Amino acid sequence: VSMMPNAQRFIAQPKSPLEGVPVAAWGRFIAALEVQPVNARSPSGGLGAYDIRPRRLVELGYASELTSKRTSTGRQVQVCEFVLPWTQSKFLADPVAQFAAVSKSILLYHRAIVSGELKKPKGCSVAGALAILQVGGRGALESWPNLFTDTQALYDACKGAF
Amino acid sequence: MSQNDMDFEEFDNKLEDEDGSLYPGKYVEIGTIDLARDYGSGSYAEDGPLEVAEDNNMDDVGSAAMYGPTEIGAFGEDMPQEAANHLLSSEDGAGLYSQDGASELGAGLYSQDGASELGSAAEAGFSEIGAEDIQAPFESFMLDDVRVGAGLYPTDGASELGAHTGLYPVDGASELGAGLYPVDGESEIGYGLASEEGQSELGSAAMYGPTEIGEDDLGAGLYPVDGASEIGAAIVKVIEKARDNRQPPPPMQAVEVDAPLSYEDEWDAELTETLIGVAEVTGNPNPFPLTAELMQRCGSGMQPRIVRIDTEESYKQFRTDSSPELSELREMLEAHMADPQAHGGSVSDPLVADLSGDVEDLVHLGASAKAAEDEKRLDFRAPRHLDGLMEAWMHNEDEVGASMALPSGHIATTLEPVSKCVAEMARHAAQADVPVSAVVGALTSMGCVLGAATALKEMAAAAPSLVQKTQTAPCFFRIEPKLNPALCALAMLVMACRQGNKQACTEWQNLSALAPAPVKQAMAEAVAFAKAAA
Repeated sequence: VSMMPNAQRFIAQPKSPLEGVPVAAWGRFIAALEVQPVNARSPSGGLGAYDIRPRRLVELGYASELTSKRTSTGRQVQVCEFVLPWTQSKFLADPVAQFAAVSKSILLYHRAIVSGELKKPKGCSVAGALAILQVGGRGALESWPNLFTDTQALYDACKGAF
Repeated sequence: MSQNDMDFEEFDNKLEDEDGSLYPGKYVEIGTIDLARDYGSGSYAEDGPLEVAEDNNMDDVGSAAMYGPTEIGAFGEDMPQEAANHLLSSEDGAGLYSQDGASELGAGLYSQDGASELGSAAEAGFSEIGAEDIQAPFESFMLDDVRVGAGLYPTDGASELGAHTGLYPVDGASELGAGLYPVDGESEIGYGLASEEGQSELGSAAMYGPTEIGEDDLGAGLYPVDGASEIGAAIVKVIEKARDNRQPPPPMQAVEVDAPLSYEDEWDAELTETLIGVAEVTGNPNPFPLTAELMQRCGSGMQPRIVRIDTEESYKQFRTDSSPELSELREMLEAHMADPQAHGGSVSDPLVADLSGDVEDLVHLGASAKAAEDEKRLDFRAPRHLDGLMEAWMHNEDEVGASMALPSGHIATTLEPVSKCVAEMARHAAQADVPVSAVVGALTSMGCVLGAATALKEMAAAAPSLVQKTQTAPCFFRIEPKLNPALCALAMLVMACRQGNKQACTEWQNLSALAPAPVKQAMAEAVAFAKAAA
């Protein structure tokens, strides 16, 4: 048994799934997207560390049956049913799954921007546009630069990444 | 690729097509019970290849005591009485162990005596398993390298045994084995940080300090004195959490691969469902924390593990067949050996030139194959006397392979799905409260080390049984807990209750009130078991 050379072998930046985006830039971007604990559910109904919205989880295939409900605070939020083998509790307990989901989400948005399917507003960076899409969807991007407070904060945190 | 599904295909060296990432469909959930700490483990004999199982009695004494993955089993009885004693550790602390000598866990025992972890087992003639043979949990080995905890220990080389025991509060749990690590200044490092919940920040703090140990001063590179790498600190916290969470495997046994499962396994399922059901109905996520911990400790939910037993020769063949690079090298060698013209000729004979070309190719190919094998190897820190007795490697993209030498001279091998390894590490990471982005890139490699450790520990726990049952090799066995997990857990629960553990009594009473008939039947068996063992 060889002695372990060192623990640095464990240190690895996640690879960038976005063509042309360096690892470091991706790392900054994805770190900025992490807005709450792994097991958290945001007031907007977003799940996990990246506050992934139920609608996006449905689009990504993790969940189905998107419905709306009013929370105890009177806020209208969307909820979804996870598709087996996923359950909400399992998803909320799994940081790797959340990372994979958000990576996939961003990758698809990025492709849509690159292909022209989604129009990036002039003056908005790619990273900023992706952040807006992630938190607010296409509608939020269309309304740029008029953003909700939280969306604006995320945009500001991410826009300089790339 | 399916794993440990008794069809042996995981031992097939041919790669199967994979269908992409682990997520979402392929991810394996391996439970959400919050495990307790990983108590000291390992007890390979220093002077030989795991000879600890040679005495058949050791099978009864408990594989755990020999091979170390678990402290349960020091008694020569199936009833895990010492495990029940262990329950009392939260109240009585390590002193319990030093008194009754029943467990190798006692910090007091070790820090004072520094010798045998076996207690009564040692009296029965197993004293060859000394403290120096105890093997640190594999999670520690990961931590060792980041020098976590180094700062906690005096730099003058003073005994870290005392420091270890001093670090642990009275619950007598996480100190287990801490004092057992060799004093060679290596493997004890970091174990002092196998800390209580809430203490794990000690690790991050400590790692920034200077380290007195080791030439390969990894910590310095990773964690500059003036500030920690966020990623490095997060990784350390995850490793700490993994170490805190992990349980040693229960005593294991080898059975035929297609041996039927015991009818008692129904108890395991029923008890698990009861715990989950009560949690759902009451909204309390963990209404039976002690029972759940004991269930986990007794191996509840462990998936069947298939173990391949080889001779040294068949093992080489197996590994060669499993490696495209080695297979290519072998084919070229065989072709060369089969070519009569490749071995003859004179200096002026053009065949000689061909031969030298072949040799050059072989040398080059051999170096490439070695490099490829090195690349696949999973390094983990283990006591030096285990050098050459265990190895772990990436069997393919989907599986971790782990092998260990048995006292009989055979080699046991098993495979662990990478998805399962990552799932476990992800669960620890989720509990470690670290930024996902900081650790996600490391979880696979860390998980694979953890998975290899799990595989090795389980095989080690079953080693006596594997040795006993192996007639010819290669052959296959299934290894599983010796005791039905539900029965084991319930017996431990009732014994803990009898010894005054109020939590155990409360949970026992609640189970009596809420459990369905099969669980009540198991409870009755457990009571009978406990009576017999008393």
